[in-house]
Amino acid sequence: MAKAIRYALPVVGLLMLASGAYLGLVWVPAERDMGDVARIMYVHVPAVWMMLLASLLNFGASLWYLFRASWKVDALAEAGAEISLLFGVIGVLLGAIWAKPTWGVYWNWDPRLTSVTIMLVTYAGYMALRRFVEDPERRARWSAVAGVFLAANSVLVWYSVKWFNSLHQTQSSPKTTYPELVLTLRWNSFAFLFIAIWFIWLRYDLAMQTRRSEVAPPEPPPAAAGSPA
Amino acid sequence: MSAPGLLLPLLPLLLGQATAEHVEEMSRAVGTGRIVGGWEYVWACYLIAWIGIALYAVSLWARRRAGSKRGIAA
Repeated sequence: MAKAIRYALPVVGLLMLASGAYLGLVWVPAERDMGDVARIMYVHVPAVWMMLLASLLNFGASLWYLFRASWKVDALAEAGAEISLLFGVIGVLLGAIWAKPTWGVYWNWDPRLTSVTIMLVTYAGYMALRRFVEDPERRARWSAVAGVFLAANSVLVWYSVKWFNSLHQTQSSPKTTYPELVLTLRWNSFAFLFIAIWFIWLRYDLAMQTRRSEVAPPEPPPAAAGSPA
Repeated sequence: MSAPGLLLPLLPLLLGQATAEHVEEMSRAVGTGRIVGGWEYVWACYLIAWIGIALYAVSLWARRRAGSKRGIAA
């Protein structure tokens, strides 16, 4: 069953991504104010949502590790952080490109952009920490503590448009937009979600593979192994 | 060939026609927006998203392959 889901996730995700591109680029009408440029929303918003979801996974796994240490939970935290960083970089790049025709500049130090930049830098630091600490147990413990603290910034990213005077628009409600827009956004979000889950799964396996090789008992020397007594 | 089988080659045409009518109808209702054009930004964003996802998938595949080889060698 797990194997079938594992193969189905990328297939369904990619099919939905292709059909989502059709919906976003052709089917959905231009937006009333931003015109065709608003079509960027159907890839920018899902990417940022996946960044926040994966960071939530990193936070949950980090907290879990502090109460009940296990290699599986540590691997899940590692996977969550890397996928969050991936979708964060994509989301920020897309946001910067969208800013040019709407705000007139690619970048400004608006609260949302600043908080998301800090988030990406801290997750890059988290991944560096994991790479530089050689002892697996110490690495897992330090990363878990860092993962819990990093979550505070995710909250700041989400609420920055409400708490501060921001150029970035606040979260919209499906009630205030036309149904075609909501459908296209949801369709693309599910496409990104399936791909994100698949990536997390593969990255988790990779982390477990590394952990197994790190904590495996040392091999006996070749001369001793199989040699007659 | 069955009736659905005969209709299958016509599906892209029917879909295209339905889309064209839908887009025309919605454009009449919503308008074209205050910002005109900007398709180069739209295409750049979709391409970056697709390429980013594809490159990461390739990197995962390569790292898993390298890990498996190390495991076999050990």
